[in-house]
Amino acid sequence: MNIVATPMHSHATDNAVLAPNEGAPLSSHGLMKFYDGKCVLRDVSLELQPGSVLGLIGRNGSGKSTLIRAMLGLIELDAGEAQVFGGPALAMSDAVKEKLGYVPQQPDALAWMRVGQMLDYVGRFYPHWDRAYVEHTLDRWMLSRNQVLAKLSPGERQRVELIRALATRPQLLVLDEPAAALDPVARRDLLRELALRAADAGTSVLFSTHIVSDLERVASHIAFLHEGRLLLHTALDDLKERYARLQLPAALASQGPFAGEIHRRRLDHGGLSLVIERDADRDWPVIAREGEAHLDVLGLEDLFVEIAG
Amino acid sequence: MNAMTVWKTTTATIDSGQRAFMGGVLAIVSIATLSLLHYETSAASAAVFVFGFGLVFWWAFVVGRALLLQRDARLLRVPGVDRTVALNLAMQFVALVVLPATVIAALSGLRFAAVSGVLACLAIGGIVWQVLPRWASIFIVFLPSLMQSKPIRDVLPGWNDPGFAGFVWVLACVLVTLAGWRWRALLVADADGFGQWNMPMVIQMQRQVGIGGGYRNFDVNALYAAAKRTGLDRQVQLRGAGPGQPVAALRVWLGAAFAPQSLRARLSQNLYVLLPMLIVGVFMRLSLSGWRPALNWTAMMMSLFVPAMCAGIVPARLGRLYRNAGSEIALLATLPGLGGGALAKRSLLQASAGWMSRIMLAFAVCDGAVLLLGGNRPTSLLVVALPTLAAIAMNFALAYNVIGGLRISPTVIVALCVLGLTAICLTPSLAFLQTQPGSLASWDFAGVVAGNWLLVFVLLTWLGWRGRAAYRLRPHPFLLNS
Repeated sequence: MNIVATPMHSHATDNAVLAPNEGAPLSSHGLMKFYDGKCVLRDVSLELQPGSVLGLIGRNGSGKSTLIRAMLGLIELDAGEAQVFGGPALAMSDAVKEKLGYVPQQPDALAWMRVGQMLDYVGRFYPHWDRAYVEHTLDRWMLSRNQVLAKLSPGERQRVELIRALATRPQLLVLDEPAAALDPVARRDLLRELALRAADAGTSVLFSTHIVSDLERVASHIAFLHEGRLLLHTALDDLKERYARLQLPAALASQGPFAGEIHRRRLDHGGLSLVIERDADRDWPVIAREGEAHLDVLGLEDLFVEIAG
Repeated sequence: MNAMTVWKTTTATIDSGQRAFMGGVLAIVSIATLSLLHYETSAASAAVFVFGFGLVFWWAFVVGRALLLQRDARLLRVPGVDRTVALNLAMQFVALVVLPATVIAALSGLRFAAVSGVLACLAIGGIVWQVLPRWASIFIVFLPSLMQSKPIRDVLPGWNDPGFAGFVWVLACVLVTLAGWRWRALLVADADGFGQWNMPMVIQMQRQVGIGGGYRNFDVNALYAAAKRTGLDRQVQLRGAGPGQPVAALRVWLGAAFAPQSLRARLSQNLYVLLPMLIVGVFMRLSLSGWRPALNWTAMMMSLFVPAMCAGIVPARLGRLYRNAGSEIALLATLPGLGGGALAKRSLLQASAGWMSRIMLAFAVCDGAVLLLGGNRPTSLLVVALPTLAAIAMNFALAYNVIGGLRISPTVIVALCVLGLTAICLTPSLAFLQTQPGSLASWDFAGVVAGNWLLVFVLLTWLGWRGRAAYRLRPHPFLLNS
């Protein structure tokens, strides 16, 4: 059921062209993570291909942030392996780190510094630091260089962190809930920036969200994480008209599992609500043709609610 | 609402480790008090103060937090909290002042009115310590020493004077009035409105991130307030910190006391401690008639305070950073220019525990020199050397555990703190002891102190060993603990 994402953008520029020995910007295999005996990642395998924009969606507490941290080598795993540009995430070289921009969910690093001071300081570590981009974007987003970071609103803080990550001219951008604190205008601005980076500079992007409309606006691929399990990983275009809700009467409820079934929920009156998927020939499973079955094709948001709700 | 709910009103505002520590302190002073009363009836008044010592800390760091609860309840419009807090204060007073006073009075033969008055003064003094502006509350730390000075002792009535009980109760009333006035003012005060000098300890405690900040683990405004108070954004020296200079770079990322700053900036930040110290030193000079005793006293006090204050700073700071997924650690893991795993690991230790050790060693050398110049015997250096070594070892051992990803049981922390504080408090008596040949009592006492220190260092060695082993196994030093 997991479909490995394929590149969507054919006009990637030079900095996205990988050396022959480099692997996918991000890849993970069989990730397992437990916190206090509770499994928060269950055998997650995921790959981000160069130039693609992968939206990671899931409910609060589904394990999105943990997955991102695991893929970047910020936490130790109980099982599995994560790689960044073909090398182990837990032992990234400086060359790999220079190509990576990361913004955590609630950034508060160097909060005692002023905006300009922090950006100048962090810029020292990156050979390709884009000072002009920093100045231009600070002005465009009306952020003062002299403001202490801790005094910024969450949305402003998020934008400063995005500037920090983007100014490194990353080939891989990883954003954990980047739009959560932004107002609609700033969110739209950010999504446009991500789309432009992916399209013009070939930047590979992984971002987590629970805002479905953000995914539809910018993602080329989506991955759906639910209770630590990766339920879906596919190109966004492949999702259209591909999944449906199938309601079955009580008489058929004891049967199954059916071909193409990916989720089931028992209804109050004894019936069954299934989420089903078209087969390779884009046909619905046979059970959908039962006389008393009721089929509704699902959009992305409905699919999300149906599975996670 | 039952009595247990009311009792837990304040104790619930601290985490289990802090509760265990404060409970441990109360238990130890209670045992010490009862032992003194049992074996040394002539030391009854000393026993009152031994219990009172624990009482001050309990009221300052546990009961005082009721104010924070009341402040937040007001902000959140939660009804009934004012009444619950008032009931809790009354309950705490009965349980920790009236009942112990009854027991002590019964066992010692001292008058109940006098004992309860002294304990009331100490308990409410704990609250006053928390609610006064910082510039005033720092003097409370030196109050016990000031009370021992001759001019003050000449004026104050003694335990056996007929007016003693009346005096202590009048004093208690004054303290209650002062505490009540400040408490009411702080209930509605804007926490961001306080500057470096007038910030009360209780508000600082609320904002503190990491050290003792169990009440609020993270608060952006607290970080801003801390930055504003210290002016770190203006005082930090970023020259020489960057790729290729990992230790200096990491000190900037660690921030707070670790960030590179000029000596002038550091002195100005710590002026609120240094200035009262100087004032009290001058007072001691006047009361002790001579600079040498005053310098000795100052050096002694510093040798107790500085290591006690510095011990635990490093693991507290690192603990906060490694727990918070949005902190500097997450970015450091993806930051180029800090070198490979082994170099970065060494650099992190040098920037954190190594830096704090250098500060403590520099202080210890100066303090030791003052003690020797003051005409003290070489054994007096133990007062400086042992606490400094223990504080350095504690910072390294606990830091290893934090960055090694290990959890430390609250019981171990409590044991370490209690043993360490006991050792620090007992060492001056040992170092300045005029040991007579054949004086068994002195050597017994020396054995107790030495045993105490041995336990402290054994515990720290074990913690450091297991932490270091875990740290060495980590693929890189910036792995989050959450």
